[in-house]
Amino acid sequence: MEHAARKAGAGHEAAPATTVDVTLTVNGEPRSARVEARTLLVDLLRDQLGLTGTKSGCDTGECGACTVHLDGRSAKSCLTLAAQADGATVTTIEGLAPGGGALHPIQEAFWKSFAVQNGYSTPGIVMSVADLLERNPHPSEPEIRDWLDGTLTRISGYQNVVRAVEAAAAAMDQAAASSASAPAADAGAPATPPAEGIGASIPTKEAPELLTGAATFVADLKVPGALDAAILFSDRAHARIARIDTSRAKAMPGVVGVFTAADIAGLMPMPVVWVPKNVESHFPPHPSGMVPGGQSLLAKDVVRFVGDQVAVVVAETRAQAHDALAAIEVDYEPLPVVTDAIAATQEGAPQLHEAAPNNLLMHWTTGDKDAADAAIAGAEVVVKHRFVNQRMMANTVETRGSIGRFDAATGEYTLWTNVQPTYPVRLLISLYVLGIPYSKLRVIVPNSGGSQGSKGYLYADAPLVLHLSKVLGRPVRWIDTRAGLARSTVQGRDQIQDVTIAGSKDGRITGLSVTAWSNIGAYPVINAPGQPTVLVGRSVTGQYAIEHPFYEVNIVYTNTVPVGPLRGSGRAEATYLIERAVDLFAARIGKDPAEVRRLNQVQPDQQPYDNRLGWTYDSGDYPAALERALAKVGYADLDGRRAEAKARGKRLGVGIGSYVAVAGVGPSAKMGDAGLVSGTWGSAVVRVQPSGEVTVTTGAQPHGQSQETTFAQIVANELGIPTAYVSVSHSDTNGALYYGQASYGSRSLSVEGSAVHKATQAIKAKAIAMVSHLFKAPPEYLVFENGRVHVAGNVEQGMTLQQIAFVLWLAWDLPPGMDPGLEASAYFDPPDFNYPFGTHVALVEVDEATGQVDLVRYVAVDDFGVVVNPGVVDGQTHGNIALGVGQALLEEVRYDADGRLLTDSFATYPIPRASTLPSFETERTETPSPVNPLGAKGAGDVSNPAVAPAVVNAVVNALADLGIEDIATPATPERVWRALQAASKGAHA
Amino acid sequence: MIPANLAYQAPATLAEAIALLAGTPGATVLAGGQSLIPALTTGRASASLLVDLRRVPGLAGITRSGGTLRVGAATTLDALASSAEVAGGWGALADAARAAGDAQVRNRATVGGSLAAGHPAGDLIAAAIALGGVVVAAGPGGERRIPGAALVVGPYRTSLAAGEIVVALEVPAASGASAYVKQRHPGSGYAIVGVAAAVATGADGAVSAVALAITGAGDAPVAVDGAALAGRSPAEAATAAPDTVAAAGLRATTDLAASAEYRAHLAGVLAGRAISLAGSRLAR
Repeated sequence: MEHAARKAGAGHEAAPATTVDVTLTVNGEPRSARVEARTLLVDLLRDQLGLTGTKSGCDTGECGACTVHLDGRSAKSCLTLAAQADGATVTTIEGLAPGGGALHPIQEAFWKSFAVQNGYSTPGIVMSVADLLERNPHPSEPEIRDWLDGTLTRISGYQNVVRAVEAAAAAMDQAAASSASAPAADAGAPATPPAEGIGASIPTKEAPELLTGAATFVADLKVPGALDAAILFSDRAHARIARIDTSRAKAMPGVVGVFTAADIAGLMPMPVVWVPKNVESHFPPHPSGMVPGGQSLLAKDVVRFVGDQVAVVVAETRAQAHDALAAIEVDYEPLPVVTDAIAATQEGAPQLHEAAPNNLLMHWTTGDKDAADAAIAGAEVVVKHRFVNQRMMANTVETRGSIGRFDAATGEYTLWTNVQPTYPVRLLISLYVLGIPYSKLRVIVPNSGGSQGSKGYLYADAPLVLHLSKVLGRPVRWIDTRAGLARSTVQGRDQIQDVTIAGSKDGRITGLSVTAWSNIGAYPVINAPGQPTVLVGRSVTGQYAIEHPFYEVNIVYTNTVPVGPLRGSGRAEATYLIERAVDLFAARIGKDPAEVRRLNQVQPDQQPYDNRLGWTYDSGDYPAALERALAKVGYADLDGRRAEAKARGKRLGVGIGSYVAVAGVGPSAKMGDAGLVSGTWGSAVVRVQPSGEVTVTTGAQPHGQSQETTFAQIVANELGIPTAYVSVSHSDTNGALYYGQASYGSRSLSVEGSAVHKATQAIKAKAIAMVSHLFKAPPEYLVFENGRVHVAGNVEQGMTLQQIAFVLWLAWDLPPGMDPGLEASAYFDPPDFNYPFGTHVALVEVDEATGQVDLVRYVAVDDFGVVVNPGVVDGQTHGNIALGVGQALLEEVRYDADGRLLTDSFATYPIPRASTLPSFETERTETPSPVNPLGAKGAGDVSNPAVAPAVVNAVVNALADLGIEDIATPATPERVWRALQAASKGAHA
Repeated sequence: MIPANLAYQAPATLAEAIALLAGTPGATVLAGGQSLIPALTTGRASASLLVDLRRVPGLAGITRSGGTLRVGAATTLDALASSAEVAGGWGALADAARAAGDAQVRNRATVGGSLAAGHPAGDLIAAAIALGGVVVAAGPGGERRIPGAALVVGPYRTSLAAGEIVVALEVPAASGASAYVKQRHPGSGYAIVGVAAAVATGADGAVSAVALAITGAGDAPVAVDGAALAGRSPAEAATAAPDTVAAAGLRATTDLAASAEYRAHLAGVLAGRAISLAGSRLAR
């Protein structure tokens, strides 16, 4: 301390110090450390003091994940140097609760309010809220939302956080009141324990460790001896690499190795496993000969986008690795650049891949073009419009990361990485990239922050760190930066759609034809071709019975970051175009857009409905959801509200977004037919341990969806036991499963959950068979109920599940042919997809002077089939809506003419903040799906597609009397203002 | 990531800090760090040495002498935003402090740091300009008083000389009311355009003087003469404000966030709104 003070405070006699000794109080304990002057407080806390509950999301103060208390006030620890905290008192999430395992009332409220999903941003938000409630014990909702603007969450939206803050405020009041009088016994305990089965909103099992900062994300893992890697991304969008000189970088402090393509020549490129059939396609080749190729792990000869990986530095520390990046010399010979999909297909456009003339990866169609053309030619009303579904980024608060470890003694590789497909990554790396035995590669996905689909891949960093670990003999860790994420991680959407919609003057839609250009970026990522083809193409009829639909798409390479699925994937692009087109059609014939929807919706008695593009909708009452949403928002009588807004200089607009979204991937044969080189069944192992506890291993890969809770509910519901007896594991290829197909596209509950259900049925059957044997009673006289098997009509005469598991473990007296143990493995391959649906209605106010659009009300009526945990599903819906609002109003990836990325931070690529959103009003109808035993439909990403069109329809509605028919997205204030200007000029002309 | 060669000192006196700054090429003052540290992290700014003012006594606090408000450089934006005295007499200043950054940033960001950052879209500086504020800087040659409008000379460039440290913002007593409004960029939180207005009225209730300052629109926050708005009611002045701003010939800039044309338009609209808000405060 003395030394520190002298060193830091000393005058000018010595050279200024680049290291500083700091002493501070952290969570009540004195701590000392020597830090570099440049060390951020967040890095001191995480790297040197081991307090990894504080997260790092952007390093530039925008996301707030690193929020701690500094001298009693919330502060972003990436905006403070460690040196500045000398002598300070710091409280991190680890120090918030009183200790002894109890949660702080704020943590408790977050837990009970479903305010935690993947939990990556949670510690920062909790610390921020603690400061708020200290200075303002009774904040209003606007005050809470304003305050929360300092902390971003990408996946969950903010609504449940707002509710949690309100609940925490109330609880802290009550605690203060009761401590002032007499201690109240069990004041918070409900009179009867809540039911825990299907349909019960029980707080999630996952939340507590996320709330206390104990949960381990990939960047939090402490792998002894690990080196840190940093990747040099190309800063050119298209260039030939003339020369790379890494000698200076190799000589930098701490650098262990610098690698370029020449150093890893033996490794294969990334594979592509979605290869549409019966279509001429132009993928880069792959040496395996089994699947096509993609991107090289490190760029060879040519870079094709600003994220192409040119070199990787491995050093003792992450800072040293990044320092050395700047010392790598690369000479580029510029090549012409193209970033626009249509431009890329023109004669003379810059060419990205030899295999793909005019940059066309493929042209794909669905539907009957001639019939659609004829329907359009014969229609009374034909509306043509071009929509642009702009390019977006998942921009999750947690970046990506991979840690590879090769054990020379055993020849085993271990990969820790925050992706969705745990097993597929193992298969793809071993088979197609590194060429190592599948059995020698273990993949573990630790707690994973948000994905929005962007972590649903094999990325080049994963095989790279494994390979480099083998080369260097030490584990190698790579954790991306915020600017890196914008280049290294797939982007989403980016489709231009020429839409023709045709029908009768009275509102019946008879024909729909779509010609689309999908910008897939510089390389095809593993599953990307599936999105613009089947996922968009088969979904473009939306909720409507359109006799003659047709869709064609040109999938095009450009010098941009590769594009892949983004939450709502494919269905979002399709729903946007049909919902906007229906509104345009309604405007053209002078009918209310709600009325046109009523006239064309698939009716309940038409289910199951073949949409003529490849989907067969399973079930649902689409009109009922529409009417309920309209009634809720008071659609029929908004004039009063319109006038009131007008008096404030605001134009009110109302917009509808109806959707039906394919989910529940899926029937393996149908997916295979669609081109996916993989099975897509669900799998589960359920074991009743000799102790009676139930363990479940699932092929799902939860990253915020709370399957540890909902799958426990399925088991608890079937077995009649508390969820506390059931634990769910996943995301480790050394687990009990043969293979897990992971979580994506709203498949987990309906497919993986059904496998859990099926395995649990087998457990019940075996338990009954065992009791039947022991009791010498025929099985039909036995009942499985409340965790016991008993004789029908005689509850007393029975055995508990625990007893049954125990005697099966003893195996002293088994019926002939029965194996010991009480476990079951099950697979579930659904006969078809399921089709959640609903209608959302948005109310916006448009500021006439500035063009600012405010979302003032949002009603969502969704049908996800049977819902296991409504609290969880509501939270997912909030996240879907938030992302859709971002698409409608805020978000757009932008490149300059040279293909340089302009939006690589939260400052330049805004995502919704708490104060930009109102509290959403969510309701549900419940139509069981016939294609799985749970009756479940997808929920995780399916409601997102409704949102952007609902909001944009509302904006256009607000401006319709000016003759404005469309507004490009995002509908920024300037875009809206320009539309207003153009309309008023038109009116004066 | 901040480059490795950065050095750090936390001197105990203002004199030592000035000497370090004046004597070290590339040295920069570190106050709350809320704009400087991310600028170093992203490489937008560089420094050889950070001279941290956290040990220097006497730089924080809001005081009033005569009618003049003096805000010490180390006063946090949160303290400024929370001060009833500031809100009561210098509404634009309180508005600007509240509109800057977010809650966590305001807890650490200082008045001196906000001003010295020279941000072309700084909030506080706009309020300071409209209110006739003066930035007090201490340097090797002693103290210097810089009129608010003369502080920022370009993007991230100020008229502070080498070795000069902002020690306070002084704002004279306002005879009327003032307000600051901004159109916030949804990502960065900075003003796409922000306008501060100070409105004084005569005994008849008519506007006697309007001072406007516009930030975010161009390379630096600027003052706009509101003399043409005098003699009207505050509501009329608000309506006429866009024309006054247009006549001032702002040099607006185009970037990723907005075009020059839109910024120029916004400046007029927000000037009207700032006058309206100030006008509503006059009535109280």
